Amino acid sequence: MWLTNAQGWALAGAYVVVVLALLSALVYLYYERRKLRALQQTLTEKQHEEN
Amino acid sequence: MKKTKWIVGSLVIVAVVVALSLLKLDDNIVYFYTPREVFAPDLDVWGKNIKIGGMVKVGSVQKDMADMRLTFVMTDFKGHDIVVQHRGTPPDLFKEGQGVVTEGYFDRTQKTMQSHTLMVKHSEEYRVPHDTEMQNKELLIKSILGN
Amino acid sequence: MRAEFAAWRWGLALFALQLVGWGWGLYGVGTDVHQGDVYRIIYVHVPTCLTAFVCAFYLFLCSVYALRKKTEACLLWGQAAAELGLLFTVLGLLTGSIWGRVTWGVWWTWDARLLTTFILGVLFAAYLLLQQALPRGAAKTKASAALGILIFIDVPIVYKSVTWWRTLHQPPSIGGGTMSGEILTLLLITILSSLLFMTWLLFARVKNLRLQQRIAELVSDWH
Repeated sequence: MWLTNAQGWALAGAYVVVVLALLSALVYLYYERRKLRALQQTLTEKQHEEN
Repeated sequence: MKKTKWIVGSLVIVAVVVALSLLKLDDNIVYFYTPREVFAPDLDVWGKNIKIGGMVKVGSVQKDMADMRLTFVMTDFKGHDIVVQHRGTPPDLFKEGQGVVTEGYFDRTQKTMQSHTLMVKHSEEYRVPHDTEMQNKELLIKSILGN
Repeated sequence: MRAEFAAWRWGLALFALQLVGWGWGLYGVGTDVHQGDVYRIIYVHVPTCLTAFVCAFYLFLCSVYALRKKTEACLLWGQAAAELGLLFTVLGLLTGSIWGRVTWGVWWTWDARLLTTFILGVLFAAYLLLQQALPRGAAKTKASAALGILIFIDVPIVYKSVTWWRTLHQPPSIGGGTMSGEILTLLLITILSSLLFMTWLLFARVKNLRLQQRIAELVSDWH
């Protein structure tokens, strides 16, 4: 690949930003789902206890 | 609710931003003038910060390294030549035969442009080296001078 | 639950598909005679921008549905579509800015293309703020739907801006016959894989939002 220093940083930077952003979105959704499921679990258990 | 105040405030800011943007659009709808347009006597360009787009005339580029001054001729290939003087290093893609948009102050009598911002305008062509089809120079000229 | 689209395996597979496309974009496909290797930003810049447009289209579908059926069932999809629309618009503007700094020589300029795209991002943000600001009800559903339709109206304006007006940004490359076959092919592949991944994100996010809603109902039932 023929790139000047600036061009190399630009190319790498653009790809890194996009890959990290999309990966973060995926990871965020994963941890959000885990947290929500745990919360749902706790609440349904509590409800059954009450009943 | 305190939260509502923040949200409504943000929406107001958003509305203001959109309004300002649309005003800016009105200004920049004509993003640059062509060399022919700036020579038209009824266009008031004296003392105004304007943008002019054209092609870098081959053989016209002069670099003064000591002063960091760049001089070249911007043309539309129809006889409307402008001598552009720019302080600073040009973008990587700047070269003879390239499309440019300069921003600064134009002197119609001297046919010169004092440019503080020099931008390269490239065409929409993307070609690999071994592509046998001729590289389309007309595309670039059309995108700057044709609209 | 039987295998559904929101399952993690799909997310990982579609993300991996994008990585393969980008790997080829960086090391496989030929270089450009005009810009050199920095042109390869195209394989992240164009897909993110077009994906943002499709988010606006999803939001538009939700909005029309909400208005016709007078239901708020679609609001969760609208929320997710607007979030993703904002994300992809920001990514499009960032990659474009980086690319512009190297080719045009400036990080930003207010030409019609950049300005209308910026407005698109602001509108997505406004939609999300609206969801937070208004209480559930017919007013919220109607206002959201109206904004959702307005956002979609900006999309053809953004696309056509480089044709209708004089801009720094060049005219569209796709459909103009101005790209070598291998560049165009890879570009279409990266666009498609971006759209697929975004659609997966949409389904996954809606699933989370539904869970959140169910939890809120559980809490209010309980009290």
